[in-house]
Amino acid sequence: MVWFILGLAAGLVLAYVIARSLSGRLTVHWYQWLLGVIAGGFVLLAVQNYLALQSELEPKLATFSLLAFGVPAVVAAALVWLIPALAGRGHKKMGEAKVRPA
Amino acid sequence: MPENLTRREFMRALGIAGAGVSLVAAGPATALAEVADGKPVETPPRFWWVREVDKPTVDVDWKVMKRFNEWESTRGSLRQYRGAELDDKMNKLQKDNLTKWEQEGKPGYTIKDMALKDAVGSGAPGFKLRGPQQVTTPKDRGVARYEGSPELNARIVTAALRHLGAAKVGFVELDEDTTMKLIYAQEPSPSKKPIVFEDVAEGADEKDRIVIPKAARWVIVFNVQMSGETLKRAPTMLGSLTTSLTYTRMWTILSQAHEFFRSLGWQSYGPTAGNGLGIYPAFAVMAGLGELSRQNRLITPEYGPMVRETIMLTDLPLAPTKPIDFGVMNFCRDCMTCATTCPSQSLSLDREPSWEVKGPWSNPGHRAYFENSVSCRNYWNECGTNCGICFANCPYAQEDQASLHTILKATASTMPVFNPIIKRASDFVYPSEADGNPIKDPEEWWYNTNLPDYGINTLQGGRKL
Repeated sequence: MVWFILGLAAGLVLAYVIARSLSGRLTVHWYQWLLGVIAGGFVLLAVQNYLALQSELEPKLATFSLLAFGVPAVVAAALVWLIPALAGRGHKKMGEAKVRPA
Repeated sequence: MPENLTRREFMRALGIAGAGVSLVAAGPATALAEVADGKPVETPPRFWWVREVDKPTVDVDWKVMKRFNEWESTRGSLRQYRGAELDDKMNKLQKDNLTKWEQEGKPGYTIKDMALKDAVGSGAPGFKLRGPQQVTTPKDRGVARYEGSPELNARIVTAALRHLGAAKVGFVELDEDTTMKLIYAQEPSPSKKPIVFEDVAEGADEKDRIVIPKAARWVIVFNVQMSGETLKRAPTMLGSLTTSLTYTRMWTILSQAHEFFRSLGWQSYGPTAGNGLGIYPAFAVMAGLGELSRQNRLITPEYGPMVRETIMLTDLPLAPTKPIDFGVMNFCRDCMTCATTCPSQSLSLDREPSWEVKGPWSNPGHRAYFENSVSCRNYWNECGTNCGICFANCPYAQEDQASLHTILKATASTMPVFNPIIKRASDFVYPSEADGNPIKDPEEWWYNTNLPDYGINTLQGGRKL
């Protein structure tokens, strides 16, 4: 059941992103796709291992796996927004330098 | 067909339909392929990170190796190795400790733990060279005996033993210069009967020797799963009961297997006492059930060290299975967890295995992490059981529902450069000391009544219903 819900959620997010990017209302660069896939993979690993290790009666290892896979998932997801944000700020600065008054 | 169907939409629909048809057809097509080429595919296939090899990962010098006497191990000669005085003292210590702990209600040694340990050790059939010999033969039934190719025979025997309760099955063909040397020269005490191979039609357990026909040169090696969850209560009586239960099941399977061969119309020969006939872990390594390890016992890809194994001989031709390599001996170089957590410090702490045995209880001729079996057995007396702390602490002693286990095992197998990192992560999650305390609470085991049958997961290792 958990996997059905996760699959549904992943499908909905993917469908939304694809629909928005096809209609031109969202620009998704290749590295954002890549980071998104990596983040999604780590989320799935975190959930699978946490639930499976709990059923294996290994709660300590379950918590460890949540951190081991969850932290990279959060980092990758954060980079999806961070990289364009940083790149945008860099372009703005370059733009200002160009129009600096003589 | 809709009038406004575009070429793009038509091609997309074709592609999706084609993909669906391919997926649906893949199953039956694969099954047909298995039958069509005549080679039975092992079900289930081994994990991709388990490699078949021509030589085992433990170095063997067959010229030095000799047939060993089972009773020369500490199972038969402990009193001789540690002296009569110490032997009496340790036996008394064991008896006194068990009585004291049961009276105190020490977790793992309470009356209910003792009772269950007594129960799991009972019910096993007695040992007979050829088994009960009670079922009908094909001749009795007026039919021809079973015939098949060695590959098909191996598949049939594997399916049968698995259904009887075996976890993994493998086969070795005896060779005078090599694998024959893993058959004991003499059976365990008290019989100590020599095991001889002769050109006879049928073997027998005679008064002063055991005769096996030379034709019975195929060794069937099988293991039975132990409950890792239970053994994590080692070294208590509760932890040790899974060993006893597994032995009871194993001897029952052996007895039934004898009858299976009899009913097929072929001969089979097995141990005449517990741990008899041959060196089980050695045969298991040669048959590809696992690798030898720092514990000086078998570690398997599917169950880690949580198995017990045994052997039987037959004259039914069987396709041998090859040794495997999945990185255990390499991992053991860096890990050392079993040795550092051993309360009696009996396991080797050397980085590399050695050709030098630690005492006459081990057979020379292979390069292994030999142990001090006497100090190990001394601790057995102290804790009152057969300990098992090394098994319980092994990083391979895990189930396989979580993908993390597969990721780590596959990494250890294919990229041993990461072994020190895996070891450090394992120590971080499970810091352990050589204090002789169980990893998990024995009392908690009794109230977790949702454990599977025998405390094991029979789907472990990629099995399917």
